Amino acid sequence: VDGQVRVRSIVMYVVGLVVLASATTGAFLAMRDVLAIGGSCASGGPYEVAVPCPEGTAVLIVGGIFGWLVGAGITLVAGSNLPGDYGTVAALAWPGLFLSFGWNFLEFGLDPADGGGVNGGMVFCGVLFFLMGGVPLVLGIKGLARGLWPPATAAVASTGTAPAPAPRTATVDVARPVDAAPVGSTQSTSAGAMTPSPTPPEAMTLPPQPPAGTSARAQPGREDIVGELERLAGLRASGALDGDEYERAKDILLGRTGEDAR
Amino acid sequence: VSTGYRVMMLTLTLAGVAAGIALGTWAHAVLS
Repeated sequence: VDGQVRVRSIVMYVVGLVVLASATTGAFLAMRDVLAIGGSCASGGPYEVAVPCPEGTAVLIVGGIFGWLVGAGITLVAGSNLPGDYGTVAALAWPGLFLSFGWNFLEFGLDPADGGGVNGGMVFCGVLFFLMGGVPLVLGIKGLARGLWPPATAAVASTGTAPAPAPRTATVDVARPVDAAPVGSTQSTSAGAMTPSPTPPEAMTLPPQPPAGTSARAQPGREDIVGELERLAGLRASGALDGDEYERAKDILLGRTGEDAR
Repeated sequence: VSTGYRVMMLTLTLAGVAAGIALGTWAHAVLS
């Protein structure tokens, strides 16, 4: 079932990219047609039209906008279901649209189709579109590179196999503080928890396990030590322990801590 | 993620974009 879902996601991911790229290309070419006749046109309606739109312009531009949205959405959803960061690739839709439209504005703004001088308004639009498309592209280039070529470790996060080991780690972590009332016993508890595991090599390869275990073990230990030190200080202040006894008790306590940290 | 999977996905990504550009160009040629 997992394999079927993955194949379907891959197919949808590619379909999304095809829809996205075709919509952007269609709108890009239709925009060039309009700019080639002066930058504005009209079609239909009750008035006499001075500059009729080139054929297919409305379909390509309106269809392009919807196709762009739908294609980016399909790519994002299907790509996010895949191992890796392929949902990120959908973000290419934004610079793809703005850079291609910006190119058109600059090209026709610097060399207008009517043969006149530079069209400042169009050049301004071109620069604006280039900035709108280019700045996010430059800022997000690392994420995009990760999307196109995910790191080897990315598999665990999004595959269906990851949730299975996760509860096991959680069980171990939850059980540990209960057994670990005396600080020194944590080590044997963690060793005991690892031994009955049916597949030790798999457990060893799980990246999140060591940090999770370490932090879960360190937190209650530190609190215990602070509490013990405070109690010792209290006993010394009350006179129940003299200075020497206090120092020895503190050494024993900190000595135990050193053992546990190892 | 294995290298084979990454190569496959990168190829499919580029192929998808290329196919989309071809399809958009074709649609423009047909409609205009």
